[in-house]
Amino acid sequence: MNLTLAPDTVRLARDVREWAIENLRPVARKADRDHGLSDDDLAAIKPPPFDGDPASGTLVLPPPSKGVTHRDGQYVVSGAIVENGTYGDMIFMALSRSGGIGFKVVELLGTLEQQERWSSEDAHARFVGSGFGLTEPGSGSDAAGLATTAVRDGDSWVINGSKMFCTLGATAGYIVVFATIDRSLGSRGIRAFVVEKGTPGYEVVKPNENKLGIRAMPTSQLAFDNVVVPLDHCLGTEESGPTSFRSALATLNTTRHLVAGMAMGVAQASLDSAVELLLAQRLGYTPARWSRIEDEIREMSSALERGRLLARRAAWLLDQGLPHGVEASIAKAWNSPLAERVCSRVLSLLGPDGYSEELPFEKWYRDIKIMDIWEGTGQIHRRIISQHRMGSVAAAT
Amino acid sequence: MVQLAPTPEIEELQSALRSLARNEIAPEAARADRESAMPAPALDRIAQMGFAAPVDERFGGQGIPSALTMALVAEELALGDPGIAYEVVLGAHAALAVARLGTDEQQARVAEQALGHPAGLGSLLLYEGFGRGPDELRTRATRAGEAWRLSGRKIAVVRPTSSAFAVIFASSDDSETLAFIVDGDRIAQSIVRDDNVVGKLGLRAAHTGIVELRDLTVDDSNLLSTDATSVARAAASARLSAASVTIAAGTLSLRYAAHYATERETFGKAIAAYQGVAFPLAEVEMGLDAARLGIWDLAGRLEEIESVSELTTATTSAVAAANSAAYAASVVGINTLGGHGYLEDHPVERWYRAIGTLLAIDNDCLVGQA
Repeated sequence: MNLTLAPDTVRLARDVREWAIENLRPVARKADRDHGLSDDDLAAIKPPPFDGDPASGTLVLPPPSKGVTHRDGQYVVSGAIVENGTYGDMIFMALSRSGGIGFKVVELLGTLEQQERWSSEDAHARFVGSGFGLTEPGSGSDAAGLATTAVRDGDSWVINGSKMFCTLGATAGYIVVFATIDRSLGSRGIRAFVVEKGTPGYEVVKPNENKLGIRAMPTSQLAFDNVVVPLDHCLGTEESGPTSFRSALATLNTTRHLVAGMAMGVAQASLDSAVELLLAQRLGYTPARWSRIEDEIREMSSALERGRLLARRAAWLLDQGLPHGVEASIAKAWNSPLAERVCSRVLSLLGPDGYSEELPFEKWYRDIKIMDIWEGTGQIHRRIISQHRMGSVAAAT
Repeated sequence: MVQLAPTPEIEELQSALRSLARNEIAPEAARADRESAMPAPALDRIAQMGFAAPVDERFGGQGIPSALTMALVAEELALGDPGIAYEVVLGAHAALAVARLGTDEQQARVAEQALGHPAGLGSLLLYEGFGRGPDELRTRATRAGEAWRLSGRKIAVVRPTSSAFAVIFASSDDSETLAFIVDGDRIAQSIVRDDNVVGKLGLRAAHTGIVELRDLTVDDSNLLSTDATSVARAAASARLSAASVTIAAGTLSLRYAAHYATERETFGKAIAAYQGVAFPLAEVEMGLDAARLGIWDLAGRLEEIESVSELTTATTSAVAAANSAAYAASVVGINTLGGHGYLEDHPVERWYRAIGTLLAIDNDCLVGQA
């Protein structure tokens, strides 16, 4: 058994980290203040040392180094890239305007023809980004309680409703919109529909919410007012329809390990940067306090390493095609509060340098809070973990 | 004997403060945070009540509140907004330090300035970061003939450019903690970082900054007291009031999240019906209550404690408990609202930022962690 990354992955991760620090940190504060990365700043960012989008499962694994026979799989490598990219700054996740997990949903649920239209390589070029339209103002954790409807009208579907917290929604070439065709069927009545940008009735109500953190990542509110789409925009077949919602939720299991990795990336960046500053200010502390600070730094570093391993395990299981849902939940539910505590502790230790906008720590403190919320809240993951251990009786209320 | 019922005077005071917080502070909170600006009407009302810069009745003021009363006042004001309360309360403690430690002449001078508010408010130069308590200050007061030279770095200084007077806590060459009063413009000249200019995480309604004193020359007429215990009590009282602001910020998060939990439904029930939602809120409630009682107990006993070391250690412990409880409240507050808690649409994110800032101001790594 081995939990160490392959040498090629280590090299790539290091390259990504160096690239992220050099390219993302200088623009991060401005992007935070402006609630977005300007086109000029985006254009100035050098291409990253990898091809494809690790967040949406389209990473192109680089060719192996000479003589290398053992390599990590796509998900493990993607996890390492995401952790080190977000080590630079969370705007790493907003860079790939051609990304988005809508593509993954199409791959998972769509027919071959639908995959060709909306998730092929060609589709990635035609549709700049894809969105995942599930959460609504009235339904978050209770995703099956959504209110957006799709009513069949001849050879079309007519969609009405609204979605929020749609990452990259404002810029996405299309949104995969979850809507119910029959509320009485519960989750079995939910289907996924592709709604392309520009379809009449589809409106970006709010391109980017005003948020506590990750302000440069567009988090959009969308409205669907009698949006008419052809029948073949409903992903899958009549037979696969009733299970499509549950299958789509499984998509989230393929990205949760990435969130666990992001949490480690941001927290590690905060800790490493704090150590530099603390060392420079060492003489300001009494010997007893400095000794305690050194102990805390060691403890935080060890804890982050354990969190990293949890994320890596979930990724490895994905690469092996093995069940991974509960491991993804464990990684996300464990890593997110751990990262929050590290960022908070850093803030406290740095005092006025921690809360000042002159330095990135207060931004990282704001950014990190989303990790325990998106891609399934901490409560939901604890429910998943409990029920895995104890059955459906666990955490029933 | 144990007695937890407030006196009629305290009840009346709390009622008036709650009304002020609800009607004049809270409605201004979001804008004050957004614009980093203290709302003048709210400040005027607080001053009318005698809490912006308390002055002894002998000098025309409304009297000097006890450390416990001030902690209660701080919490009630902060339940309107922690940022607004922080500037007011810490500024008030500059006047309180003069009342506790100063000569009649010094008190009279402050009274003249303070009662001519709004320009007559104070600034407190106490905190230095690095977990230092008042008995470990690095700001030095060095004798130079008949004068004193003050040198050191103070953080989270309220009204760094606009105070009428400032109280500086410093350590003498004999390691005694002293307190001095100077005109506010001498502090304004020493500011090295204005948080209103560079921006800060939270408490944005409070104007704060970092001040570096470089051989600031004063004389004995500026010296408030050489009695170490009295000076330590003044510092402790200020820190406990700030900790009460922290408790209030946590309480705001708890109340808002708890109310939300009773209204927001998921899986067919109010989310409060789920133990996974309700129990963390209950934990937060317990922690805040325990920390609050610790502050009240210590504030009520300050005058009985003679040891400077005990005053400092006990205060640091009470502050740490407040920080820990409030931090937990701020996290649970956002978590309860889920994605909505992360949006500026709800105030929990503002209290999360405020608490993060408060934790960074008064924090000793040797005593627990948030």
